[in-house]
Amino acid sequence: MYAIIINDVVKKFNNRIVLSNINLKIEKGIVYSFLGPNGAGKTTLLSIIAGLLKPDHGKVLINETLEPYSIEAKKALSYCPQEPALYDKMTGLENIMFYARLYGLNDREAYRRAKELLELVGLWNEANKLVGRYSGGMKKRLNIAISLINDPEILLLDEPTTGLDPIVRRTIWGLIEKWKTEGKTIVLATHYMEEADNLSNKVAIINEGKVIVEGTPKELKEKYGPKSIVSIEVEKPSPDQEKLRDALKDFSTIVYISNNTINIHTNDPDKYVPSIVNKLYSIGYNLLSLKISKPTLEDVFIRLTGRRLE
Amino acid sequence: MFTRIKALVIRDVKLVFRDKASVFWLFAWPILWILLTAYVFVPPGVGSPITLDIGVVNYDSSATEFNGITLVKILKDIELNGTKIFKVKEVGNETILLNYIKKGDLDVGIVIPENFGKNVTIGQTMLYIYINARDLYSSQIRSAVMKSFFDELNKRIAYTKINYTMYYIEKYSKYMTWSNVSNTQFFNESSNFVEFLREYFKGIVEPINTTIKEIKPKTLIDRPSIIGWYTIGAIGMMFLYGGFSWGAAIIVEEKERGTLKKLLSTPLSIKELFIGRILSGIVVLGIASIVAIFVGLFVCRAKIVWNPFMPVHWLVPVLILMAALMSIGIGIIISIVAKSLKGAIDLAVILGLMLAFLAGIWFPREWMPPALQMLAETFPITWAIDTIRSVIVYEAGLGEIWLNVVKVFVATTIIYIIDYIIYKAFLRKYIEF
Repeated sequence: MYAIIINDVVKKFNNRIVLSNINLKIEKGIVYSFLGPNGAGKTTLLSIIAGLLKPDHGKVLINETLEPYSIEAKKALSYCPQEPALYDKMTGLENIMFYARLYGLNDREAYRRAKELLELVGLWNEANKLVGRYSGGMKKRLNIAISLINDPEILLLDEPTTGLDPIVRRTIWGLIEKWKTEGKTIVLATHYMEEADNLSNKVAIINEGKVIVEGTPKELKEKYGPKSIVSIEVEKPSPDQEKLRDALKDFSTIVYISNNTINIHTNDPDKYVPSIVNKLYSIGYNLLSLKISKPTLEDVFIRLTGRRLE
Repeated sequence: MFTRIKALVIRDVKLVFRDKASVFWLFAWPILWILLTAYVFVPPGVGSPITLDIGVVNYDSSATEFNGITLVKILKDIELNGTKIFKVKEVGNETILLNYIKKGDLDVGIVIPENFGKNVTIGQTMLYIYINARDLYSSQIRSAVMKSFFDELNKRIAYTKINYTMYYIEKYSKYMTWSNVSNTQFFNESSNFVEFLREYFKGIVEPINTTIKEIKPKTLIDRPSIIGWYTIGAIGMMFLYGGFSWGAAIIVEEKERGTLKKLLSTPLSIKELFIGRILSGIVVLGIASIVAIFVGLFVCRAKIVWNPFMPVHWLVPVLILMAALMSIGIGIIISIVAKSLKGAIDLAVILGLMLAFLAGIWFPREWMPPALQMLAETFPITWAIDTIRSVIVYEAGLGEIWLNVVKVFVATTIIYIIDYIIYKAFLRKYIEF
């Protein structure tokens, strides 16, 4: 049984194609991530699923039969936009009660549900404070709580942890894990590789309006990722990355620098690591540390697109 | 549907009451105008006869029955509806008198010359009156009061002199040969020549005995009714800038606040959003109107006639609703030319305030130049406000107002057809539906 079926969806803005022939089927009860850089088309795809935009071609079905802009579909799913849709001059409780009423809950039921959700996201003690006085993290948590007010079967989360500190981010991840175990279908648009990797049952990597690959994180890493990543922390990486790649071309075709770390994709680290180290010394690098790790979804993305996610 | 619209109304009312600027414009500003009207423009005492401060210099010492002393006493004693017309100060000489007037201590100065009493008894006398002409309006009133007083005094002196004259004519008429003077077209022998002369002399004093009566609308004669008129004006003014800005914000506010997509991802439809926002505006303007009426009635003692047992009076809340609806509707049309929420609201407030003063809402249209009178006559919110005033201030019946009521309904319908087209077209820029 599919929660969402996306069939050959094309979307253009001012004759510019932002989504190109998207075909996806999202099973019920899983966390499904759209992973891609900013501007890849993830939010547009979520807006189409939420019934806010119409595709120029193709169609989307919710629960296999419902048009996304039908009332039944809107009751079955909930859309959590990237920027919190909140009213600063209302309290947290008033904000959530307002949205509860939009879903037709009476005042008593709305209050009960609001209290439950505010407790869940750790905001009950701040419920009567004006939202204008909330921190960014509190607003994000309230935004997510609001998205659950109708107890949706399908939850669309657009970049739910962007701009948050690691503690709040982990709190939200914990909530997503919890809802997954409750059987909700969660569609996550994110450009955080770690988020998609840790939470998702399935991932679609989107770039420039196209789904490049789809599968479980494990499948994608096995199929498209290298065997290992050699990460070498150096004292001062040279800004000339072309020169570095040229020096290491005999060991790997994918080399990139992140902060002070040179990352090298390789399928045989045992064989190449000593040579790589020698080569780096020979071209003047002072090495500080070395780590060999398994590939991530970002490595898959880099492999497939030739560029980094962020 | 009702629950969702109710949710929007509750939200908007809370947001308005927590926004200081909205509270000021919707509540404080109209109240300020009602208070200004009641205590500055139409202060307590308006409608009562005015009392002038007058100074009198009396140089007369005639030993006649009517002289300068008698005139001063009359000036001191004369009343209108129980109010003294003059507060008299006796001054030593003309120079001091003129100084008082120049300083503004006196409204009028009177100089009674020597032999005033003697001359007025046997012929004609002079009297000098100085009017404080500090401003045109007051000086016209002072001149008019003094002229009226002396016209009346002259008349009464003249009648007294006629009576004296007739006393002697009657006493000595038996020595006169009336047939010598009887050959006129107005007099014949059978007539009483003494009575003829009496009437003739009266005609010399007052050839035309006019009777002037001012007919004013019953309810506008007194201060409470004037305040009632302006209380409705203050509500109309608040509708113009408040309703205009509410309407102007309907389309762009949710977009700029970042809530539009979230709202429309819920079961809330665009139609419900439209109705809910307009209804919120009606509720807010309605509360503000009730507060304004409350202040007018109980703080400023305005007279507003509303009788729930008279069916025509039930048109008043309906017309207030229509005026509020039209103002919000016109606001939506205004928003077409604005590029942002701030721009839309600024434009709406400026336009609203201008129209409040120029379209017969705050100032009576009779005070306006002809071009603005035309604007007032063609502006549908003025129709509604005028009709409300007709009912609760002028106590008009249905026969006098039905045509305006129909015009108001038709105008509101047309405005909202245009609004919904604009609303849908604008929303399509942000949301596809």
